[in-house]
Amino acid sequence: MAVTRPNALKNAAALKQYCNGVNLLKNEFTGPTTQSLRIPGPSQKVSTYDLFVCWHVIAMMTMTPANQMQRNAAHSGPVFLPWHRFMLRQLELNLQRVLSDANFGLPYWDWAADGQLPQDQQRQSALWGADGLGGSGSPVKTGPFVFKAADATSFRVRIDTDSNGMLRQTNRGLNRAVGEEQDVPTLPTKADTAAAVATTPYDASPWNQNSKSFRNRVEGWSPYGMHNQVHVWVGGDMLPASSPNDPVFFLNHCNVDRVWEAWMQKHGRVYVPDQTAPASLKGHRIKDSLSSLISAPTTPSAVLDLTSQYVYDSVAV
Amino acid sequence: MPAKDAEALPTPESIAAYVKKNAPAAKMAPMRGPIETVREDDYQGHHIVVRTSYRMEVDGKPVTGHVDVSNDGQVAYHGLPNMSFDSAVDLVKRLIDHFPEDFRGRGSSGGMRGMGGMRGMAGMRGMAGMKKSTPKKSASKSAAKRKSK
Repeated sequence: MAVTRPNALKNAAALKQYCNGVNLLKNEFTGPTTQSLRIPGPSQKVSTYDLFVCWHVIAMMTMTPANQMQRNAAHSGPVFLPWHRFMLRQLELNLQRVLSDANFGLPYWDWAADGQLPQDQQRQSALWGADGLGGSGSPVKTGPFVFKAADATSFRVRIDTDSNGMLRQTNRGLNRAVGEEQDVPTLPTKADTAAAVATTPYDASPWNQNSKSFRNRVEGWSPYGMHNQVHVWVGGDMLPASSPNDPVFFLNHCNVDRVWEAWMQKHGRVYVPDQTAPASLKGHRIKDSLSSLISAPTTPSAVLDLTSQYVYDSVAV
Repeated sequence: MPAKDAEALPTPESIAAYVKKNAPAAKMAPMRGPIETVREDDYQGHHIVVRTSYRMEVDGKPVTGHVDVSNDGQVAYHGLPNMSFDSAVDLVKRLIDHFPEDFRGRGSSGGMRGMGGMRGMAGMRGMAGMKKSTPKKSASKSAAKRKSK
C-alpha cells in the first residue's frame, strides 16, 4: 500500500517523526568507513545518514559522460529529477525501517507557500522553530539538530566537502543562515511553481543548464530560481555539494519531487532522452542506470511512476 | 546477497554490502592542470564551439574543482553547486568566504562561513524575473566598497 507524504508546514507530528528518524540514522553504523569511501584522514565509521551525504557528493563529482563537465550523474541534466526521486525513496525506506513504521511518508516543505509571505516573515515559518527543524546559527542553536560537543549522539556534521568539492572529514555542528543571503532574499512563489508546471517539454537539447525545459526550470538554472534558490536561501550547509548534511535538504527535494509529480499528472509520465540518444548523453537516457551507493541501482524509467509506493497529500503546488 | 530491487526494504546488512560493492566505482578525482570548458551552439546553420581554459589560484594554491560556463557566460562550480557567477573571479571570492579554513593563514578572510558575513558578496547570479529580488551589487562596486573600509 502506498504511503502518503504530508505537508511539513501542516503536520507537525510528521515533521517531528522525520527529525527523530534522521537522528536515528545519524547514529546507525552498518560497517562502511571513511577509508572504504576513500575519504582522507583516519578511518572512521560512516553513519547511514552520512552515506546519503557521500552519495550526493559522489554523484555530483561523476561527470556523465566523463569527457565533459556540463552534466553530472545527478544534476544539470535530465536525471536531476529521477536521481533525487531515487535518493528520496531510499531515505524514506530507511526511515520506515529505523522508525519501525511502514506507513511513514517523507514530509515535504511547500516552500512556495512560505514564499507567498512578505519577505520579513518568510524566515519566521514554523519550520525553523525549535519544534521544527531549528533555526539559524553557526552552529544551529535550537531544535532537534543542536550540536553538543560532549555528547557523541547529538547531531553533528562529520563529512563535508572542501573548496574543490572533495569529501573530507570534520566534526562540528550544522550551519544555517536562513534568509540571510542578500542576493537571494526570498523563496520561490506559487507563480514560480505554476510557471514551472506549465513548462514543456520535460527536457531539451543541449540537455544542460542552457536547456529551455521543465527540468531546467525546476532545477533553477533558467530562469535562476526554484530548487537552487531554496538551497541558497537556507544557506550554510545547504550551499556546498554536501548539502544533504542539513535535513531540510530532503524536505526541499521532496517538494521538488511533488512539483514533478504535478507536472506528470498534467503532461503525462514522459521522459527524454530515450535510449536511442547518443552516447554523449549516457547516464541520462531513460534506461541508463542511476548512480547508486546504498542499494540496487534503478533507472529513470523505473521511477516515473511510484504511485504504488507513495502519493502526496496534495499536488496543488 | 541483497535483493536487486531498489524498492526492496533495506537492512543494515544490505547497506553495508551495497556500499562495499559500489564505493570502488566512485571516481572522486580532482581536476589536474588547466580546466577547459566547452560551449557549443548552432546559429544560422553554423556550429559554434567556444573553448575556455581556466587556471585558478589563490595565493599560488590551485583551485581544482569542476567549472562549467553556460552559453550566457555564467560560471558554475561543483563546490558550490546551486550558484552561478558573473565571473570566475567572483566565484573564487565566494570560495574564500565559504571555505575560509582552506585559505587560512593567507590574506585576511575567515570565520564567515554560512553566516551573515556572506551577505552582499559580489557576482552571484541575480534573480532575474523575480518580483521580490533586491538589486544585485556589481562585482566592482562591492570590491570597491570593501577596499574603502
